[in-house]
Amino acid sequence: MSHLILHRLLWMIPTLLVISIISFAIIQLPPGDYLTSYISALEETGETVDAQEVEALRKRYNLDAPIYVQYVKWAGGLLHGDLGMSFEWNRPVKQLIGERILLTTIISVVTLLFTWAVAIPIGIYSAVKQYSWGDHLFTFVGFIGLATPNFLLALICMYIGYSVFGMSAGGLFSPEYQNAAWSVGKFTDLLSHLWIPVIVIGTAGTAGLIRVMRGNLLDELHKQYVMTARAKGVPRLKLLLKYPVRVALNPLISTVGWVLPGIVSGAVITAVVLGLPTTGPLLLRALMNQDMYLAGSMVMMLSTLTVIGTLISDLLLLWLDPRIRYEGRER
Amino acid sequence: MIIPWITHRRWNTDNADDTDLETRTDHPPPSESPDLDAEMADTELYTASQWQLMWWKFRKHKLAVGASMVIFALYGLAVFCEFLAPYPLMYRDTAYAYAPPQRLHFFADDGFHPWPFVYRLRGERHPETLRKFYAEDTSQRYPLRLLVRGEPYRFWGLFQTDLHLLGVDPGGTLFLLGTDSMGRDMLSRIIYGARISLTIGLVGVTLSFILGLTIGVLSGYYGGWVDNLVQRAIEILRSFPSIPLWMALSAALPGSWSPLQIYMGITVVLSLIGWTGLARQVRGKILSLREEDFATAALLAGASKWRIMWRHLLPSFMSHIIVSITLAVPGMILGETALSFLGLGLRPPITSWGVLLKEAQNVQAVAFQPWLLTPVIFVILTVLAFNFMGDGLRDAADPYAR
Amino acid sequence: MAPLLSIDNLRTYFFLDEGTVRAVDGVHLEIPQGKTVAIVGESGCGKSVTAFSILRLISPPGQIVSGQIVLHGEGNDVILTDLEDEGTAIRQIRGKEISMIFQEPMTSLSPVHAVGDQIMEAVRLHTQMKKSEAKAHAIRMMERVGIPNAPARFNQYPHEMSGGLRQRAIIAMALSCQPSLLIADEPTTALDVTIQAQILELMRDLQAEFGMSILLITHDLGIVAEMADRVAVMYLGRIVEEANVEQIFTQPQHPYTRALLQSIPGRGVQPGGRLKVIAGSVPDPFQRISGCPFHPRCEEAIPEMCDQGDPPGSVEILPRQRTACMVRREYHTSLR
Repeated sequence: MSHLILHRLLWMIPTLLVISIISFAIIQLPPGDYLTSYISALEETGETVDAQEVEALRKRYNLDAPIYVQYVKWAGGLLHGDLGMSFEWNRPVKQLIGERILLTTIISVVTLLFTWAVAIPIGIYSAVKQYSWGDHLFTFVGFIGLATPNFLLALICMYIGYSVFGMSAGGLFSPEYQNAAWSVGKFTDLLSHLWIPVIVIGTAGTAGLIRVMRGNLLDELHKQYVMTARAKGVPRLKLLLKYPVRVALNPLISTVGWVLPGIVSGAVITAVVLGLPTTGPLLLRALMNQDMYLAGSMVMMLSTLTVIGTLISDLLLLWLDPRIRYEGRER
Repeated sequence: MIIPWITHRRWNTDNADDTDLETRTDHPPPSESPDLDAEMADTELYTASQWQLMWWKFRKHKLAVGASMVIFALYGLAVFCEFLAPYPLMYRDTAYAYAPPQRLHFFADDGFHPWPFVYRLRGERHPETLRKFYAEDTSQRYPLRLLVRGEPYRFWGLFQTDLHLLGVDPGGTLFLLGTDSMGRDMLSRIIYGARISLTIGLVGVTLSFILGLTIGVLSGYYGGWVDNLVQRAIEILRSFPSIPLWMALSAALPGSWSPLQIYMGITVVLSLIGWTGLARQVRGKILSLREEDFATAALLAGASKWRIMWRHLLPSFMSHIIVSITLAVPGMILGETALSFLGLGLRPPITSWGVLLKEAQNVQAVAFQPWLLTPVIFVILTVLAFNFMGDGLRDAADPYAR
Repeated sequence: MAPLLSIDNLRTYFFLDEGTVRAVDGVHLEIPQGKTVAIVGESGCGKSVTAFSILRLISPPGQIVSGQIVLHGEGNDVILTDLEDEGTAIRQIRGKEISMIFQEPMTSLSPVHAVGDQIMEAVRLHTQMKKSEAKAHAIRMMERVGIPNAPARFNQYPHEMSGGLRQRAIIAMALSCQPSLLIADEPTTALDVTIQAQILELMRDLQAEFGMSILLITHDLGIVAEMADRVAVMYLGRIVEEANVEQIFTQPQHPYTRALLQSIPGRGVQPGGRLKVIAGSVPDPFQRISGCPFHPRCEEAIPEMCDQGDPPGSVEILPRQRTACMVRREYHTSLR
C-alpha cells in the first residue's frame, strides 16, 4: 500500500515536468520575446523606454541565453514560488493569481461535490428503475446537458438570476463585499452567489457521471454476490446500498481523472461570461495581450491543480477498493 | 480456410458446463463429416457480413436513424449553403440592424392564404427611450417565393448566379431568424456557419484518427517500453484541462495568418488532445484481440505480424473505431464553438457558429436580442444527433450482444 | 416422517418479449428432514429456477404463477408462496431457516467487503448477538468449515482466497444460523476435482452434525451417487422421475433417466466403445410440445400415444419410484 502511494507520488514528478515544459512552450510560442512586446506596448502609450531598464530585464530573464537555460531558470523559479512577472500589470504573477486560484479551487471543489451529490442518486434511480419514464427523462435531460455549451447555460442562468431573483448579474460577491477582507459575512455572501457557476460548470459533468453510475450499477445489479446477500435475508434498501452501489461507486472515483479537468476547463469559460474574479478572465486577458508569463504560469497552475486532484482521487480509490490495494501488494 | 467454418458452427447451444451430459448428436465431429466443402457452402448461405449485421441492428434503433437523418440534413446545409441561404454571407443592410425574426403569416385581413407571406418591416424609435424597434407594416405583403433571383454569389466558387431557394420580391426582406448588429440575416449566416463548424469537427477528428490509430497500433502491438511511454504521455495529456490549453495554443497562432491557415491551426490544436482517447481504445482492443484464437491461427498459418495487424486485427474492430469517431465529433464542435465564442478561435471573416455566438456574449443580448442565440440551437442539435447516432452505432457494432 | 418442505404443482414462468418460458411447469417434490434430495438435469431444465422459487428469489420478468411451497416447522407450517414479496416474513426465512449456496465461489462474495463481515452479517440479521459475539461465532464457523487461521482470514477479502476457501467461507455463511434446509446450486462445478471431493465431504460432515436437509442441484450424476438419498430427474420444467438413489442407478424407468445414465463414461461401456448420446437436442424454450415433452428424442416413444394430449403425470409404478412415462406405465400395468 505505502509502496503504491509512493509510486503515485513519484509519478507526479515527470507529469509536472512535462506540464512545465508545455507551459513554457506556451510562453515561448508567440514570435519575439516578451520584452519586444513590452517595449512596443510602452512606446504605444508614449512612454520612453529606458535602455538600461531593458538591459536589466533582459538579464533578469536571461533572454540572451539559450532556450533550455531560460527554461531551467523559469522552472527553478517555480520551485521557489517565483512565477515570473506580468508585464501588463508590472506585478509578480504570484500576487495576481493568488486570490483567484483560491476562488477557482473553491468553485472546482464545490462543483465536484455538487456533481456527485446530484449524479449518484439519479444514477442509482435510473439503474434500479431501468426503462421507467423517470429513467428516460433523466437520460434525455442528461443528453441535453451534455450537448449545451457552458456559456449558453451561463447566459441563461445569469438572465434568470437577474430577472427572477434580481441578483446583480455575474460576479461572486455583492458590491459591499467586493473588496472587503475575508469574514464570515463575505463567505456566506460567496455561497449565495456560488450556485450559478456551480450549476453551469457542473451540468456536463453531472450528465456524464449519471451515465457512468447507471452503467456501473446495471452491471453490478446482476452479479452473483447480490443474490447471495438477498438469500441471506438482507433488506432491500440496505442490500442495494451496501453491495452493488458500494461496488459501483469505486470506478466513479476514478472518473475524477476526467471530470476534474472538465470542471477546470468549464470554469474558465463560465468565469469569462459571468465575470467571476477567478483565473478564467485573467487568463483570457493575458492571452489576448500576449502577457505570456502570466498565461503560461496560469496554465501551469491550473494543470497542477487537476493533477493534484487526480492524485487525491487515486489515493481515495486505493483506500476504498481492496482489490486495487491487493494488486498493488502483489506487484 | 478452416477458421470461418469453425466460428460459424454452433457446437453447443447449452452452457459449456454440461460436459457430463453431452447430449448432442445433430452435429457429428468434423473428422467424420464426409463432405467438408458441401457443408462450407451450406454455411455461407447463413453468413451475413459484419457490416450487414451492423446495418440491420442499427436500423432498429429509431432514435439513431432519426439522428443520422438530422446529420445528413445538416451536412446538406453545409454543402449547398450558397443556394440555401436567402442572402450571401457578406450581405448587410444597416437599415435593419437587430431586426427581430420576421414571422411567416398565413392569415391577413382578407382571410386565409395557403401560401405564407411576410409583412414589410418598419424601423421606428421609441419616443422616450429612443430605442430602435421594428413593427410590421401590414399594408405591404411579400409572399414567400421559391427559387427566387436575389443577391448574386459564386456557387462553390465556380460560377456566378443569383438563384436562391427562398426569398421575397425586391423591396421586401426575409429575416426569418432576425439580423445582427450590422443588419446581416442570421439564418443565412447560420447556414454558412454550418460549413465551417461541421467540417472543423470532421477535419479535427480525421487528424486525431490518424494520430490515434498510428500511435495506438504501435503501442498495442509493440508493447513493452513503447507502450509504457505512450500510455504515460496519454495520461499526462489527459490531465490537462483542455480549454485553457486550447486557449493558450490558439492565442499563439500568429495574427498574420490567412483565414484558411487559422482554420487549419485550430483543427490541429483541437486534435492535439482528441487523439488520446482513440489511441487508448485502439491499444486496448489490440491487446485483447492479440490473444484471440484467430490471431494465433493466422500466425500459425505463417502470416507476418503486420499482415495480421492490418488484415485481421484492424478490420475486426473497425466498427468500434467508427463509433468512437462519431462520439468524438461533438467534442470538437463544442471546442471550436467555445474558443470562437471567447474570441480565441476562428475570427471574422470566417463565419462559424461560435463566431456568430460571440455577438451574444452578455445578458443584454439575451434580454433584448435573444435571436442572436439561435446558432446555439444548431450546435445542440448537431451534438445531440452525433451522440444519438454514436449510441446507435455502438449497439450495432456488437451484433452478437443481447 | 413428515417432510421438511413440500412443493406442490409449482409453475414459474418467465414472461419475455419473445414469448413465455415455462421454466418450471408443474413440479411436485418433497424434501424429507435431515436427508439429501438431488435434482438432476441438463442446463435450462428448470432445476435452478425451482431452487430460487423456494426462497422467493425470482425477479421480473420471472414469476411464480401457481403452486404452493410449504415449509413445515415445529407446530406451524409456513406457506412460502403466500408471503409478501421481499417482506419481513420471507427475509426471516432466508438465511435463517433456508440458506443457499451458489455455483460460482468467485463471484458469490462481495469483492469490497471482508469475508468475515459478510459471514457476520447473516448472524447479526437473524440473531440478537452483539457484534463481538457475532464475530466470535463467525470465526468459529470459519474454523468449523476448515478455514485455517480463521481469525486472520476474517479480515481478508475474497480475492485474497482460493476458490476452495471461498466456497468454504460461503458454506460457513450459509450455515451460520443453523438452517433446517440448505440449497446447494451446483456447489462444486467451478472447483478442481480434488477440492470438489473435500467440499462434498465437508457438506456431508456438516449435515451429520447439524442435521439439516440438503437440496442439491447438479448435472453431475457422480455427485448424486455420492451425496443423495433421493433423486429427482428434471426435463423441461418437469420432474420425469423421482426415486431413491439406488433405484435411479439400478432400475431407471424413464427413458430420459436411462439415457442420462448411459451417457456417463465408465458405466457399461466397453473400453474403446462409444458413449451413448441422447438423440436430438433440447427443444426451443418458447415452444410447447404436445404429449410427453421428451417424445421427440425418445427411443421408446410410441406414435399416437406419447405425442398427444397432456404431458403424462408422475405415477408410482414401482415402490417409492414415481415416473412420468406412458409407455412404462402401460408396461408395468400389463405386468400386474
